[in-house]
Amino acid sequence: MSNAEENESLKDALKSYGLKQDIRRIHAEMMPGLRGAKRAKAPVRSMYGMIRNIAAAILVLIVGTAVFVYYTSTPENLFNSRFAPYENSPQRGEGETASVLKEKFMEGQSFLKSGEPQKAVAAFSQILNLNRNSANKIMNDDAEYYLALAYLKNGEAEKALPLLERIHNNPGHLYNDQVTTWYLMKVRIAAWKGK
Amino acid sequence: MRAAQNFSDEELIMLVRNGKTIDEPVKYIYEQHFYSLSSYIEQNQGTREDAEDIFQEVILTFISLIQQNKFRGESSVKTFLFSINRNTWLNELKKRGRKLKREEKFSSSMSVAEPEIEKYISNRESRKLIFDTIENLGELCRKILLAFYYENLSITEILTHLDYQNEQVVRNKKAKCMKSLEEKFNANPALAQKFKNALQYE
Repeated sequence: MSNAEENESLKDALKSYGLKQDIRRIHAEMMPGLRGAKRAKAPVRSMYGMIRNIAAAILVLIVGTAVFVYYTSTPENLFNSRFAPYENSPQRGEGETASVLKEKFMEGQSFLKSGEPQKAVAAFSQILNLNRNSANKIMNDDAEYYLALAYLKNGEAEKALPLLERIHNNPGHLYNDQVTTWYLMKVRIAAWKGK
Repeated sequence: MRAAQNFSDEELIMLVRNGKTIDEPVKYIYEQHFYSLSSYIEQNQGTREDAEDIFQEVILTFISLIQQNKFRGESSVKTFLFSINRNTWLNELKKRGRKLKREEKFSSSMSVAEPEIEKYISNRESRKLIFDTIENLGELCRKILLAFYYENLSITEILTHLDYQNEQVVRNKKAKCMKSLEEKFNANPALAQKFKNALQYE
């Protein structure tokens, strides 16, 4: 029979048991602090944060653009961005009515240039009225477009809006490509602000 | 909670291997690794209590392997601890009749990479029986034997701690306790056989 005190396995078992008890003691000592403390951040960073940052940046951009568009959509700006003096071109075989209307149109043009939009509105409106009862519509598209600009110049975006909408919705209109969706939206904003 | 000082992997291992007590390195491991290791358990069908129990086992395994020079420093302490943690938890789940599906393929390849961990963990059951046997030894015997074999106190030191007349009485008591412990182990032949393996001392 071997001497128990020389049994190395027994000693090892006791060492291991002692170690276990020691760890248990330290565990009891450490856990209250660890349980109370806030969890350390996981080393793996989730995609959520990055996506959120990107979303926030986009939102700021959108809001910023919206604010910018909102404040810059004034009738004055909308007029200035589109108004270009009409270039008179000689037309052959002009009838009498045609030359009267053309004169009226050039009159309106000069009122716009001289900063008298109310008079310009009157001139362009007259052309449209005359054309309304005529089979031969002369300079109708030009008059419509410039009437809308005259309204804008006069700060009346809400009156310019139906005209511009009509131009925008009519692909065959001479000035259709001038009235883009984006431009129309800004006019709507200006009209809404003017209410 | 007293903040342990910072250790490099090398310092930590030196302390575990040669230090007078394990308090400092173990506290450091709690501060550094408890959250990440317990999260793994909690994310894989474990409760908070499981996580705390397993963590204690992980530390026991870690220290035992280091003291037996089974940690070669090929991976970082963190990786090593994580590996022990996972293997221990997989072993526990297996014992409970559950298994992590996504770990099934994994664990077989793991055992090749880290045979030391695998080997140590495979003896969890036997170790538990051994600890239970010591637990049943009676408080006085446990105190004397632990003081002598774990804390490495001398007979004189033990004499001052415990109330005995003289050193010879302590010596006799110690011999008697060891005898008793040996008998308890031998009473269970299966355990006696597993005994050496379970502690993995060579």
